[in-house]
Amino acid sequence: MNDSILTPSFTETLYLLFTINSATFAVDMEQVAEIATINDIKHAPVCFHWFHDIIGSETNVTAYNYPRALVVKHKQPQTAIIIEEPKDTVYIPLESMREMPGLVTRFTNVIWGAAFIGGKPVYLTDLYKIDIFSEL
Amino acid sequence: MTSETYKSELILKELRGRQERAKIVEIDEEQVKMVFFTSGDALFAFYGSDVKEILPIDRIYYVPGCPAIILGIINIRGDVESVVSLHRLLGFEDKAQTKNSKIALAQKNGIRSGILLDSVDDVDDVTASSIVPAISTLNKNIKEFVIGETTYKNRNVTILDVGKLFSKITV
Repeated sequence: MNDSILTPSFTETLYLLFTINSATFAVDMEQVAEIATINDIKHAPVCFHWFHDIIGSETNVTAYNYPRALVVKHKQPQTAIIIEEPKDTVYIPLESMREMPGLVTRFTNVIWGAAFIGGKPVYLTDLYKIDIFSEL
Repeated sequence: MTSETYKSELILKELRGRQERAKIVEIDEEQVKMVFFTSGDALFAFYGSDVKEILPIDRIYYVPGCPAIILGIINIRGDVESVVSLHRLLGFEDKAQTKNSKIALAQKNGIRSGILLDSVDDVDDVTASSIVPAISTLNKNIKEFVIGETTYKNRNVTILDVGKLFSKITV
């Protein structure tokens, strides 16, 4: 794997926002290869994982009929994370980002920070920290 | 007349002597700052040195994946801090937040977090000698977090160790 591909851009990072059980999450678009409905993923075959399970949140399957999946870029096994409908893509300035308190990251290391946008927290999420990748 | 000792002067001399002795006691006695607060129906205290700030209650945002003891995060002047429920740590029933509810931002052993309290009653000094070991019949849910006891305004106060509370969450 070429490290330069993963070199993060701090100043101009585009985040994909989506909501799970009324909490808003942001995923770095540099970590996303594809966003598609489950049946239309071009990168198949992929392993599917529910984002709900990854963050330990309850899944309310009846709440959405056409879940989307994010295919994670540059990671093996090739993996698609199932989310609800994506909301938006936004640039989040570095100045708005705050590190998650230590007590919280002990339980949810995938959520590394928060940015308050419109007075509400958006949870900054690192897909590469998901256990399925680190366990390999 | 000059050799005569007035009774009033004797009384004043005694009063001044008592004041001096009281001053000496105050100087010698080690003082400990305490944050007195209510949780459930009981009066508790933290060591003041462990509490960085007492904050009015604000909206606490739930963070998915955290245990129930961690209520969520708050925004303090642009910084993010976690908030834990003292009720849940001590095994008390949940209580709705009121206008008296406060968040004590505490730090111990490298861990920092807000602790939700029903109300903060006072911040005051007590003498170190007034802190005694807690009674052995204390509720077992509380016992593991207790450093000792003291009295405040003729009420028994249980002193809780912030470090032990945080350790309970992190183990």
